[in-house]
Amino acid sequence: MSVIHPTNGIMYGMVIDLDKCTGCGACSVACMTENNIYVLKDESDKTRSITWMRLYQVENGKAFPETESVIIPRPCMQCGQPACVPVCPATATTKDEIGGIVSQITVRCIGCRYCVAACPYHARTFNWFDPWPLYKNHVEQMAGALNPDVPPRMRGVVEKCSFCHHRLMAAKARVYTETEVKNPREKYHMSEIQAVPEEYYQTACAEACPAEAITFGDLNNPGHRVHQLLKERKADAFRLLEKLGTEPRVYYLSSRRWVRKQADNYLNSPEKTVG
Amino acid sequence: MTGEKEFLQALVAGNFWYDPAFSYGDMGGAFGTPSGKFEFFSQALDKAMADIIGKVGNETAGRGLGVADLSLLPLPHQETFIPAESSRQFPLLMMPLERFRLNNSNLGNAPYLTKLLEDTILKGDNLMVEINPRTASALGLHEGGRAKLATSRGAVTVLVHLFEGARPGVVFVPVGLGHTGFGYYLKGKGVNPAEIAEITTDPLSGQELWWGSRANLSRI
Repeated sequence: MSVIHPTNGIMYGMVIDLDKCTGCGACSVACMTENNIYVLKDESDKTRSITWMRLYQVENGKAFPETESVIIPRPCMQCGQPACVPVCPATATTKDEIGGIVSQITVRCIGCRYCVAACPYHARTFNWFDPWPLYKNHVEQMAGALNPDVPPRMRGVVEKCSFCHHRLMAAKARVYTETEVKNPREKYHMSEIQAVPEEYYQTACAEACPAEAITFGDLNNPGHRVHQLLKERKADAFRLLEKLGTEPRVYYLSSRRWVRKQADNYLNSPEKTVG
Repeated sequence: MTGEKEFLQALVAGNFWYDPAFSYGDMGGAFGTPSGKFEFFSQALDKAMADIIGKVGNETAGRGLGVADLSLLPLPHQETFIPAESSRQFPLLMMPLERFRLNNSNLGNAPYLTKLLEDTILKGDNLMVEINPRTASALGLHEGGRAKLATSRGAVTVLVHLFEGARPGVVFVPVGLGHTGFGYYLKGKGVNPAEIAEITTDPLSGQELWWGSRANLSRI
């Protein structure tokens, strides 16, 4: 079954240049501080660890000294045909947003974890713990560092990368306030702002990347860097598990052939979780 | 040119002006060295070395000082670090490994970075060491297996991670864990390789070296 999800011509996406990525984890740390993700005492159990932007290390499988490895940062793919959306019985995750972002309405989530099982990218994580006791008992100073734009999630719900959706809201508000109209009444009747300038809306990970490996913008807009990058380096571009037909909105660039090949070779690749 | 007026005239006339380059004269004899250039050579070291060689001979002096080429000693140069010989008791070489996302200075790792550590570095409170699968099979070790890492200074318990990229015969131990402080997120996690590392002295500088120790990894 194929459903066409409307995006109103805007398609937010990301291009991650794996040739530039050093695996420093700045994207992941920026994401966690931006989106109020808590830290448990023991995070080495990756089935309990919540990370929206997770780093995977992939190796070419050759023996020493021909071994090569690459770090693949993996946000939510914001798929064009998401596997998580049709399985949600609570309609807590939808694909009808302008810009094509797969939403996650945590207050509506009933915690059945169907979406966690459906997502082929392991982009969804379940809250096994309430964040507040963690902040209160152990890291009171971190409670003060919470981002007021993003609500912390409670125990028993699923969460995932939102492409920093609150920043899109803020960008729209900025466009609204900056729009000059003769009569203030016109603003009241302004239809919803759709396109925002590239520099108004950038995700936390794209901003934090010191190697400038992550680029974010509207894939359909020829003026945006993501669009140009994909055109310039068409031969190096690939997506994860393209075979499945999920139409991910996150593109990767790599000049290494074995990396591109492994991206679609899930079952046989020597893949390990990093963080 | 003396005044602003002449300067402006010269500029207008030719759009540019230049002064002849300053002559330093012949610089060939400025340094009394064979190359005629800067050469750093310690006369004191040369003299001391000549005394030692006169007493014990060339070969013994070289061995005693830990220098391969004695003629280089008075000159600034670098010596390759040669770890102790592999022995039956300690067949492997233990090397501390600096990792991204793991702070190894006197400050503790930040909680978010500790969260991002691979489950091939830290598993629960256990540190994982990296070895080549070929070395592991020779030692009877398998992925995730518990092992005793021993040097002449002591022994610690670690878990084993097999990585093709690791040089055969070398145990790579991540540095930055094994803290006794830093509270909730770091205390008691992993081990510090410095606790069991053999400390040798760099013959040239006298600094302490702990970058390679003979070690043994045995299954528990």
